[in-house]
Amino acid sequence: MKEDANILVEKQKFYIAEFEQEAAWLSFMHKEGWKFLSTDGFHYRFEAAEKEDWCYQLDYKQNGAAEDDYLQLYRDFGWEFAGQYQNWFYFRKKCAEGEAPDLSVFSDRESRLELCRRIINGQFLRMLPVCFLLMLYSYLVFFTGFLDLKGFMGGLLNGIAYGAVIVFLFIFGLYINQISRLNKMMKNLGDTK
Amino acid sequence: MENKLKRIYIPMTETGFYILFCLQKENHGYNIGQQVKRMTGGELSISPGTMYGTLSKMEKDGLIQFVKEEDKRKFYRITELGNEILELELKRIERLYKNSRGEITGGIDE
Repeated sequence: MKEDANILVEKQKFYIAEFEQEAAWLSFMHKEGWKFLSTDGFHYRFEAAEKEDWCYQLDYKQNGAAEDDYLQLYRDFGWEFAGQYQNWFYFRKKCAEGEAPDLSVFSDRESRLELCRRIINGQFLRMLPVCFLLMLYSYLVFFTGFLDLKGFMGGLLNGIAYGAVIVFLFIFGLYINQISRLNKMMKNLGDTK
Repeated sequence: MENKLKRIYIPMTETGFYILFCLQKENHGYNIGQQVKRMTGGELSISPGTMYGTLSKMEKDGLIQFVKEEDKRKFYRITELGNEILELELKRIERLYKNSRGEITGGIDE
């Protein structure tokens, strides 16, 4: 596939507690002349644009649906819908002359805390089925012997089960790490609950 | 009224209070924001994420109800339950105000 000179694809990974860094990076890219188009969570697509100050912000929406009234509300407040990845919604707004690109779409402490809570709960629910299947598979192979195959097939299934445990531990570890970062953010916001 | 809701909503955040207060008349998100700005001389500015989050939460908890959708904008109005909570909150604020002005005697021992 031939890449258009006006399109830039950058490899980048931001985890769930890094939405502020992600937004800041998108603002930075826009100032460099690359306007955000879309992301799949690992790659970011940009299109060549004017080098301008744009403020980017992310919101985490519980049901993950791009509902008309939701996007319209942001539009009413002057925010342009820039893209969506899973439950994450990307918005941008052009900075007025001399305005710092750190306008927030959340104006009080309580709603920022609420955002952190939405992310924690939402990501937990997303993770649950995957982890459940990985664990179920490993359990069946290791403890019930229901796939008691010898030879190559047996070795392969066992190998996959070991792999599954490792993947599970990795995902779980990452999740715990990100949750603790979110909790720290919430503490800094003065959460008492 | 459920005690759980009382615990969540009283005392209310300033944003929450103004939104609920404005919804004594049916209204939609952006307009509420504009109205609050006028009421507070531009001092309280509510951002869209906060507005959407608050409206969704209050609707889920039954403090406000969806009335209609016009031009992709959702209109809401306060419910009976929302009025009860607003009433309690108003009483609390009034007491707070009176006490701060020293209008209630028997508070601080002199």
